[in-house]
Amino acid sequence: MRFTFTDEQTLFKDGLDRFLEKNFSLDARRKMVESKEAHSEHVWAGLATMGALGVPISEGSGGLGGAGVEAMIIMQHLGKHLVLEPYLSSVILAGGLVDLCGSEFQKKVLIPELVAGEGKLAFAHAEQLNDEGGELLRTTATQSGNNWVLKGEKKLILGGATADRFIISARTRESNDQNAGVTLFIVESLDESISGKAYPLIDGSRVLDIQLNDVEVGPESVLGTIDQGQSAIDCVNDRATAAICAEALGIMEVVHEMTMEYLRTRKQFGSALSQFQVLQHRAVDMFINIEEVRSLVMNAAAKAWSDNPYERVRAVSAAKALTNRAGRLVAQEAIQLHGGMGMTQELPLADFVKRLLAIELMFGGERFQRLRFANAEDQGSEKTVFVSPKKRWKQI
Amino acid sequence: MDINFTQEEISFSEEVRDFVSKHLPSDVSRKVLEHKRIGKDDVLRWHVALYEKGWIAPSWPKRFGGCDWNSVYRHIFDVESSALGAPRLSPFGIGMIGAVLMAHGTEAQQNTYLPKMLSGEEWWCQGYSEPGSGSDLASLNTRAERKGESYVVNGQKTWTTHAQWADKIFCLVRTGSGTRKQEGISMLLCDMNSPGVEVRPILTLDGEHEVNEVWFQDVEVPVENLVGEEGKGWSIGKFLLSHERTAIAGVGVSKRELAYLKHLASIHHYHGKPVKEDPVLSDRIAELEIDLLALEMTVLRVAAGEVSGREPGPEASILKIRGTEIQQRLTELQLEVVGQSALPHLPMAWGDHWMGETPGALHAAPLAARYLNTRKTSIYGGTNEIQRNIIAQRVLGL
Repeated sequence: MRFTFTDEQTLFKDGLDRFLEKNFSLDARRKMVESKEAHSEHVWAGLATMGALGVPISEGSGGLGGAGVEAMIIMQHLGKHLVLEPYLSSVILAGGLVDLCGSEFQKKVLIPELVAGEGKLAFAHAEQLNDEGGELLRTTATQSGNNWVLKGEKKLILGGATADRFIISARTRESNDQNAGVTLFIVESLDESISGKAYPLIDGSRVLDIQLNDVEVGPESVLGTIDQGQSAIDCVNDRATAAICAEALGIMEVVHEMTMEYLRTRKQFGSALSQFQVLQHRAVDMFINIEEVRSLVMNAAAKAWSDNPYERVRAVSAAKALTNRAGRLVAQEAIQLHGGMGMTQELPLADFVKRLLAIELMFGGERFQRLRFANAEDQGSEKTVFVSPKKRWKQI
Repeated sequence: MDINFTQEEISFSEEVRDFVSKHLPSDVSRKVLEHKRIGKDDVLRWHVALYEKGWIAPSWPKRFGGCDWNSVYRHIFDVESSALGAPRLSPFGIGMIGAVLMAHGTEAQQNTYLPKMLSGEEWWCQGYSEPGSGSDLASLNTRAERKGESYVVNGQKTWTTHAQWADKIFCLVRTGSGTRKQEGISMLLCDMNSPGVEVRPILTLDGEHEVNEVWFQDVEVPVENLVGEEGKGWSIGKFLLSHERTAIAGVGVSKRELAYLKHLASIHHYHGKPVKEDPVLSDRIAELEIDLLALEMTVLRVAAGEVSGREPGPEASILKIRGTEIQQRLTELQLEVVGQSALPHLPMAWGDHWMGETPGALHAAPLAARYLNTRKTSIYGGTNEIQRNIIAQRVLGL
């Protein structure tokens, strides 16, 4: 059992940190969120050069063969620097789907472009925002000759505004079981039968809603097996959830350090705020929460790429439930301990707190994840016991 | 990073499970699992079984008769043996003063005390707190005056756990004065049968006799029972606080109690339905389970760090706080799940020879008392408020 990084991982982590330190600033971020891309092609190209875009994609598909731990390292640093790049949406979600279910041909076309930073993908899945986890997809794909026709709407597409291609989930068979009859399709974002609108979230990142107005695609656009897309969707959603917890961890570390610095320098009643025990204890509780999140982020990173759904769901849902609770505490305490300044848009704290809030709201809230954790069932524990035949036949 | 157990670690867990299921006396494990009263004899039988196996001193080096297990192995042993109902061993001998003597004791002290600690022949207790010196331990004023070849000790210790079972006590006493109150404190080893030592029970909220006052009136302690240098006892006393950080989290027992909590939630009912189907309570159980998972992963981070030779990082400092909070929340939820079944207070029902019926469910009878007893965990071993002061100063630099 080892919790430390390998030399290779450490080298990569330090390189990434230096690159982001040099090429991404909060001022630049504030300008970027006003633009319609809401990210920087320069930073994206830099991540591609470092190899970061291929890291969590398997080698067989044209990636670097990393997994949860490498994704954790990257996401924690994207969080630390509050980077806007569509890493989660393009690489982990959509890239993960291509990696998991793509044909040789699809991988050959899509993965090298993705890894080189030349083609971005986005996963278009959510439809009704008022039924988390329980929704039956309403978007349909019906066969027309050899082709498929997609009709419906998709909401809150992360990284959608800058994506070259969407991976769209659609119902290909009538079913009341949300896990059955779902198929994935790869669709060009330029397709004329798609209309949509982009808008910002509370943290300034931009998402897209689209309408699929009888979008016709060929059979080569089907990603994976027809009617059986749901398990891959569950897989990449869990990976993304683990990854976004790592991002939140990176953010919380910065928020905590900002707050400690403020306590050490701000003076009232003739002494630094850090001298007041009541504030010290609140600072310690922030710290404890962050260390707990770190433990479960590591656990989720180790298991999010697992093929065992029980193990994966337990680790990921535990991490997200705790990240949500801790993230809220850390953000609220940071604001409170900064006093009036904590309420202003002016401090960098504002941007970090808002990203934490956005993370809390996506991929399942605290209660939602705890319910999922509690309901996960261990299929593996029901071992089949082989009983050898007892009867002894008479031998002639 | 690879947080899976190695093949050796997995085989070790199996070996532990196998040994415990064969050698832990079944009446003892039953008492532990059912929260009955545990006597010295119960603990001793388990102690001796481990001693005979050579497993009684997990962290001690082999040359002193220990197992020399690293902290990951110790964690595995804790989790596996606790799950099967192993009673908590007395920590004061092997876990505390034994470790001190290996690091700071003379060879004669090591030869005199360590073997009997291992065999269970001599039991120890700890004389630190005094009526006027709790969190501010360094203000202690039990005095030891040097007279010829002895120290003469006068004063009073308190909250002394299982002093009524102990043969020996290790004490922090004042042998001199300095500019700082931490100076002039020494550590002495004293026989509980010495003339002038008197043990007076203190009954805790649960009505049980676990802690005591220990009075010293002109008690003579030979000078060879001084540990380390005279006047330098404070740093030795503090050595204990940094020793075996991972054990203080109590993960093994908490995992067992969580399993018990889930069991209770399946056999107790609200409106005819198992409590576990109540969305609010099941959410709180899940929350606790997730916090315990985070604690266990934190323990493993510290343990794995120790194995690779790193000093415990800042994460080690949170173990006492979160570990004890979780222990307390477990007792609170168990109580909430069984509700009125825990009302009857029949201390005889959790004794050794109870054959009668209880008005509530038998298993629920000790839970209210256990809840009260567990309030101690955030007070002993440095209150959780003191722990937060320490983290604020040493880790956060405030």
